[in-house]
Amino acid sequence: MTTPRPRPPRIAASLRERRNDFRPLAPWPERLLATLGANPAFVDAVLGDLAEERALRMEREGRVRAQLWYAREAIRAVPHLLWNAVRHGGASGRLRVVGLLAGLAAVPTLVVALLLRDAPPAALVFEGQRGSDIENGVVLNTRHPVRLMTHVLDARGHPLPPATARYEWVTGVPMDVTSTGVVTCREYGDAELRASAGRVATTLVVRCRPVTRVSGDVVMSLLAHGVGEAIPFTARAPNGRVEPLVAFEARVRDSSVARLEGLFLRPGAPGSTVVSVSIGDARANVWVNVYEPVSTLVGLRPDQRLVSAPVQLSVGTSIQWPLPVGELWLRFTPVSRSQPVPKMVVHGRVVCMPAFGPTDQARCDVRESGAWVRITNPRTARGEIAGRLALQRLDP
Amino acid sequence: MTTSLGTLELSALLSVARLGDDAYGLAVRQDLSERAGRDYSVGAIYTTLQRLEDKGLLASRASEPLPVRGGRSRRHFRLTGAGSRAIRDAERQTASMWDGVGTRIRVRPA
Repeated sequence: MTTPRPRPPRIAASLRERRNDFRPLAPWPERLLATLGANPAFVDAVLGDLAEERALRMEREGRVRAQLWYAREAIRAVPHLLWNAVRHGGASGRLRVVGLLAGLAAVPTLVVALLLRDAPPAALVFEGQRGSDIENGVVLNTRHPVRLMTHVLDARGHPLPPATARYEWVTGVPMDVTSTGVVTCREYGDAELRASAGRVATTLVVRCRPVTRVSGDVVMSLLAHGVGEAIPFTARAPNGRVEPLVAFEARVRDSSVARLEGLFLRPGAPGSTVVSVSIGDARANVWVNVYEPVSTLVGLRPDQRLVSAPVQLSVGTSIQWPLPVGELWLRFTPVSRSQPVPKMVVHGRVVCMPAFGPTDQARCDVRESGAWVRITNPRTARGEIAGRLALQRLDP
Repeated sequence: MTTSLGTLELSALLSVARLGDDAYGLAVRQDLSERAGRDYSVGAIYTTLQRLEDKGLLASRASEPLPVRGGRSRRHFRLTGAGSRAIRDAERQTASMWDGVGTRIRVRPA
């Protein structure tokens, strides 16, 4: 009888056990340093020293400080490992270094490129000529070529280069349109254009309203820091009729005297200035006098060159003020044009052109002191007179 | 022919000579850091030792793998004949440089 042979013990070893006990799986920083392409013997020596000194420091200084030291030294070793890869790593080592440096440079480059790239167009915004209040339309008061100002915006509302927009005529009055947006009106009327940028397309109404003349050569009288007034001008079409739809541009020569708020002129400090108004190819000037409000013309200082005093006269009454010596303008401005016309006379060594009477303004030359002006509401008038008498010295 | 040596190269050569059989990267680094009073990085020491080996002034051998090094070997360095000559040349050059200086400056005792 034979006894069964004892079964040999089964030896099972895990993958970890089968691996060399001295070479456990290296932590990821070591693996990272090993991939830099340096000579393997050099990498082993450096990583071995790092591991050995970390173990010494763990006993001496504790785990946290040892790990911090290890992290710092691992970072300090990187340039040396890269240099060794270039010197001793052969072609593959050098290739790894180049790849690594290119990768490091590519990251910020890509981030910057992503941040700076132009997003796709999302909206088109048309800029009418200054002064136009037509939504999604542009008023053209000229028959000369005009480039349409279009802003291409991305989804966030940031402007994109304008060259990306393309235009074409769709319907309406005949009109010359280039693909880049240069429009020439040939006749009066409206036309519809199609503008597109990328996948965004929209229609735009162009209103051709040629203007050949602007009448605006008038004088505006305003009180310093008072209420504004609309700029008085009238645009006329080639056939002479008034054109209400205009895109105008206005400029004030001296903004300390008056400044523009749309169609309004807001008075500032006392003084004189000119507002030039451009509509299409036509231009006009509006002279503006801003007066210092005073209660009376009595006792004016030499530096008070533009003053305006209130006048309020019941029927049959008058008011009399002295005039300063020199050349000056006198101008009465009524509160309402429907009220009676006052009678204005000057006395003394003074000559006015035109002589007061039917007119309510005159240029006067006061040659001696003692001259004066009298404003009268005649007994025959039908009601009260209210307004302002403005005085402007013309002497330099 | 005299081999041109940098300051750190000469220091590393002297350290290897001083440490004898215990001359490997970590020991050289600690020796130099203590003597020079500055913290050399591991990479800098090995780059220098590698350069000296490339010049034929040092030779290296790998020890048995050690658990404390994560299963890696120590790389022990020893001076070659050229390395010993380089140290003597450097000593002669240094002595030549110091020659005649002692009588002109007062050296403060350490």
